Amino acid sequence: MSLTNECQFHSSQPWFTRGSQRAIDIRMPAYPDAPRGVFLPEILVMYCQRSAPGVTSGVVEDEACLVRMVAMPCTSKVELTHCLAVLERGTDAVLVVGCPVDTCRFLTGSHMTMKRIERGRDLLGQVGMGAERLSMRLASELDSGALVGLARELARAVKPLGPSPMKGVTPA
Amino acid sequence: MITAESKPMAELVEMAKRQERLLLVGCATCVAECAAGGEKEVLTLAPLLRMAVIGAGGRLEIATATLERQCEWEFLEALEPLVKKTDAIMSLACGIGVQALAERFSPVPVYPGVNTTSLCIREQPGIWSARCAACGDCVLGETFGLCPVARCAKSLMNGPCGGTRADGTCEVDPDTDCIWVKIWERASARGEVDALVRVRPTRDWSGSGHGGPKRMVREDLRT
Repeated sequence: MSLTNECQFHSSQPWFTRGSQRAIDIRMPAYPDAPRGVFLPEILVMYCQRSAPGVTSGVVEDEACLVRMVAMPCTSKVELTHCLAVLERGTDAVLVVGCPVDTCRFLTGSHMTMKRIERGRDLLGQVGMGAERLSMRLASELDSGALVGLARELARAVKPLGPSPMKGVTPA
Repeated sequence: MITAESKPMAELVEMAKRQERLLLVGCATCVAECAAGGEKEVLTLAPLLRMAVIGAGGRLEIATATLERQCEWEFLEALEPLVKKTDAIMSLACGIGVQALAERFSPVPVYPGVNTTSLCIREQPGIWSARCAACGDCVLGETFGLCPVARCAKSLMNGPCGGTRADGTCEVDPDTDCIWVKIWERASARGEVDALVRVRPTRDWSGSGHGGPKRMVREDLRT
């Protein structure tokens, strides 16, 4: 008789009150304001805390992109629904950073996440958003600068696509 | 479980862009087990449809919900307040769920988001294979628990056929075992091969779909 999940609404209009936003953590700080007239891609980086020990979640304003970094216990906790919810809300690209497959502490975490991300890239290509907006990299012993460097590489790849068409459509 | 596969994205987008407000409804039972229409698939498809339509210059708002079951009338009632505010529904349930929504909420258009395929078991993670054809005259008791109707490409009742490969797989698909080889092996293991040569009465195929739409009536349960 009841709904198994709380209703969730994907809407820019107040025809429904927006429900739980559990797909993303809305407590994260927003992206900093980009200089006017300059397209600085907004990149969400979800990284395994073991691939970048010592790096804490936060926001970095780089010269090439605006980076929001979120530490994960393992990339196996990254669901495709998380990535797509973030992209739907106007983020220009999502980068998932995991440990190399053979050193994943949870054995199959990076391996299975790579498959999910590949499927997500295929779907994003099919809907015309561009597969480039979702990417996964495997690395270890990253510091904050190296993590931002990976985001910068992704920013270069998505820049030709232009800003996300979802920007401003839905509240972030 | 009833298994289904997601429709091609282009077909889904084509249906979604016909209206500005869409209710996307999943089913937490069979289609969730086969990763085609459960809560996770609903939350995957909703943003994709919005990105496809809005990215092409259109407008689309989507409300999502997942019912415990879409094939029972009682579960559908929770959707009523949402349906009142939507232009159309897209159901990720099997064909039964889609038709239940279409009947309950007529005249609101209801679109199918998946193609219902068969009655399967999950062999391994990511692999489902048919185990039942709902033929209406079960012979599993005579075939050692292996269904020749669902699992033989020709639904033979007296296999194996001449197309069985030397390694015991089906001529139609080298990744599929010849089920009659498996039936023979299981009969041999039990020492009951003689049971396979016993002449059986002709099967009644009228309940398999050849006899028109199926309908089951239990007078003792009717009010």
